[in-house]
Amino acid sequence: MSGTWAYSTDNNSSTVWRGMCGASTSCTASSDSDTVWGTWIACGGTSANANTVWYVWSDDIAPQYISHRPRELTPEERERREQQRQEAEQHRQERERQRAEANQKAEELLQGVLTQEQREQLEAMAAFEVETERARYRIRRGRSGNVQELDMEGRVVARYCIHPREAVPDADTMLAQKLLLEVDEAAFLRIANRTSVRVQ
Amino acid sequence: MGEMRVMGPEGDTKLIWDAENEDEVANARRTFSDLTGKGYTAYAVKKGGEKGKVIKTFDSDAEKLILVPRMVGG
Repeated sequence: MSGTWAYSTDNNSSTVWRGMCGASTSCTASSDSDTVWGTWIACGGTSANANTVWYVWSDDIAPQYISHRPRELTPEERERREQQRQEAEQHRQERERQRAEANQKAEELLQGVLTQEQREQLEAMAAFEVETERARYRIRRGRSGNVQELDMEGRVVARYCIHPREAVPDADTMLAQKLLLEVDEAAFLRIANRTSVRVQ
Repeated sequence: MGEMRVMGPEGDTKLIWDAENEDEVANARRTFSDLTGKGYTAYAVKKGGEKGKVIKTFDSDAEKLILVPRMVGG
């Protein structure tokens, strides 16, 4: 280390650094910082390439502190992960079952309020029609944008988006749309977002 | 027997009452008031697809009531 101080009188920091290496070993340093770094590495007995230094550091030293690649799981960890995976799958299946149950209830409720003709339409074309004093509408399966206004020839002239604020099953949404159209068409038209459809 | 169906994300919940049973009617009336107070619309409907009607006060003699959450534009 005495060599360091011998060179420290030099007013160039690179030279000081070079001196640290040069004085303590027999390395020859140059004046730019990359080279100084490389020199220092070389003097330290590692590689002169910064990337290699990084690899050496991360392979030999860092694993004690951080992990940069997946390590082998212990049997306990593997078991815990498998347990978590199974629980997630059970939750998914349970949600699926609840959704199917909700859809079935909604379907029964809707069927019980449709006319025979509407039930047949729903069976045949996944939609049923509602006639009001003002117009004829087709309510298709769905939640949003599923109500169509038809002209005298049965062509779609507008599409309406309106649904219950809560995310109820589609069949419940269709029933809510039917009830509102039949009972208070003005409110339906006031609330719904209307998109005109150009008749071809 | 009266029947009230309340729409919800898990499908509708069903509440039934005997018009002769005061407790059941009171319970149904309370549920009706709570929900309509929260913005639900109550429709009285009949089987067979007859056009329903909106009711503002609980009717214990109604055949079937359907309570629909507030409608919004999509």
